[in-house]
Amino acid sequence: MTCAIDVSHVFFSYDDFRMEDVSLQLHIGEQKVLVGLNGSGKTTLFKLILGLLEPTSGSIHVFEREVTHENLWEIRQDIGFLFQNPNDQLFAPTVWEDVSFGPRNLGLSKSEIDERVRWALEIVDMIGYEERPVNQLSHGQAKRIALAGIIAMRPSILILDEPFTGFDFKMVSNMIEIINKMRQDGVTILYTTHNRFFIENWSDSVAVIENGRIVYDGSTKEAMDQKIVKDNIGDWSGLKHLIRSFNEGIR
Amino acid sequence: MSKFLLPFSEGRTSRSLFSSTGMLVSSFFLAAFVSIQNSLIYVLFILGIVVMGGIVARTRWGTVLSLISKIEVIILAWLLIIPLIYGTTVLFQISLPWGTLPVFQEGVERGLLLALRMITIILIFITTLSHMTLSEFIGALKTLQVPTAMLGSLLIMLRFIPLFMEERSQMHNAQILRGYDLGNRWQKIRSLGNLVGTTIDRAFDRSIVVYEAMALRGFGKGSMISETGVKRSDAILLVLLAVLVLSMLFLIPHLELIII
Ligand SMILES: Nc1ncnc2c1ncn2[C@@H]1O[C@H](COP(=O)(O)OP(=O)(O)O)[C@@H](O)[C@H]1O
Ligand SMILES: [Mg+2]
Repeated sequence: MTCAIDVSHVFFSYDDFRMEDVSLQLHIGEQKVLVGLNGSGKTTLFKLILGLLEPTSGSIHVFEREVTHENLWEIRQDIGFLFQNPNDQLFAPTVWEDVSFGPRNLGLSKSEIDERVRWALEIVDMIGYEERPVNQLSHGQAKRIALAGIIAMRPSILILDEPFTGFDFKMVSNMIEIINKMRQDGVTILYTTHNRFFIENWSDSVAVIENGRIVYDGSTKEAMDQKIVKDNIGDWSGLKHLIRSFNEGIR
Repeated sequence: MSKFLLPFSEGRTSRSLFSSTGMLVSSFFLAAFVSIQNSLIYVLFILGIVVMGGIVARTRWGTVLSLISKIEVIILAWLLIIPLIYGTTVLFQISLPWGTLPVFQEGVERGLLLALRMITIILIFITTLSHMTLSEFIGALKTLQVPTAMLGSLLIMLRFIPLFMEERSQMHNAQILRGYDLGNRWQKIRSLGNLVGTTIDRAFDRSIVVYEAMALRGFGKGSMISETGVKRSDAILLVLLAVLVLSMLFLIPHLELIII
């Protein structure tokens, strides 16, 4: 089976952080969740896949093409990346200009661009916000516009860095609806979350990253029983005990 | 408050008669023309023309003026310093505890001329920019073959300098909430210094992330914002410019005669 993303024995390091021998495969149409504590290297791995960082050794392939300087733009057309903080991603003066930025770079005609933007805004349920300055959007709206800017390029892979943080219940279900629509079209999805619920119910497979190493990679069904997975998702019932005993200490 | 440094007509796709390239080039020539004028009357005349042009084109004066008012200090400084350092004819002297400060007549005239020139040039550019969207502006620069790397930096600057200013004021609010006003003068200066340092630091990080976001969506790789090109109606701008220059040459000497 061909891989959408194939990370193979990748090494990389910042001054005080090392990523060692990371391998990870995503099949076409698969939805994988990448789990790891803060600072474990999730965002760094994404940046390596997108060619924003370069591995010191190892290789990364996207649809069988190696990520190199020469084909960066080709590869980036295939991957949509949603940043953790939408404000990092929105830079045009208005919603319309921001969402149309990618399609314009794809060299589409004016009418195609208009159509793409409308289509994307419709999917994220933000029709009517075209003229709105991007800095006048709420967090949830900004995130949806950031997503619209990505899907307007019609990527075959979506990488979402903590897509639900700061969302209320309604926003979460809205987001899931949007991504599910993309899945129906065969889009491959890689995302991160700290929430056990999504890991359990909204993924085909789970990979765990710990201090820059992939320590587990397998189907969601099997993953949920593994100690190493549980350790990295964290045990919130332990937290409950901690709070209870503290409260009793006060009384 | 506008979050952009420049007065672009955000969002609205402007349906202007002229291409953004044409407008930008014309304003550039007009500004160059102003900068070589050595007579106050000539500069005033052009200023009048610009204001009239703006009125005809329905310029949003509010935006334009609020931006100009931000740089008035610099213009005032010229107006006040030049009379002290330029010229030979002493107009009058200001006596100060440590001596007298001569004010030169040539300096006063020159300062006035420079300040007026500067105001006119700035008004020309700000008024012009207020009639185009950011992408039209970038498109015009593309038509004029400005390199992509420069456009990228420009885009980031335009978007983020105002954001930094906002961030800075928010951090300052956080300082106030934690008792900034209670500190002594020295502590205050230090807090403000930290603020500036942190803001610049963050600005730097931020601009890298934003550049990455732009690169991911094809900045510099694809065709980016398409060139806006030129319109046939831009010829009208050329004619108007020529008429202005000619009228300056023929009309104003007569005006001067009449006045004198
Ligand atoms: N630009 C950078 N320069 C140096 N170190 C960095 C940089 N970005 C991230 N790091 C470090 O790399 C490690 C992994 O960060 P990151 O990939 O953002 O983790 P995660 O996304 O899993 O929370 C952290 O220890 C972080 O401090
Ligand atoms: Mg992260």
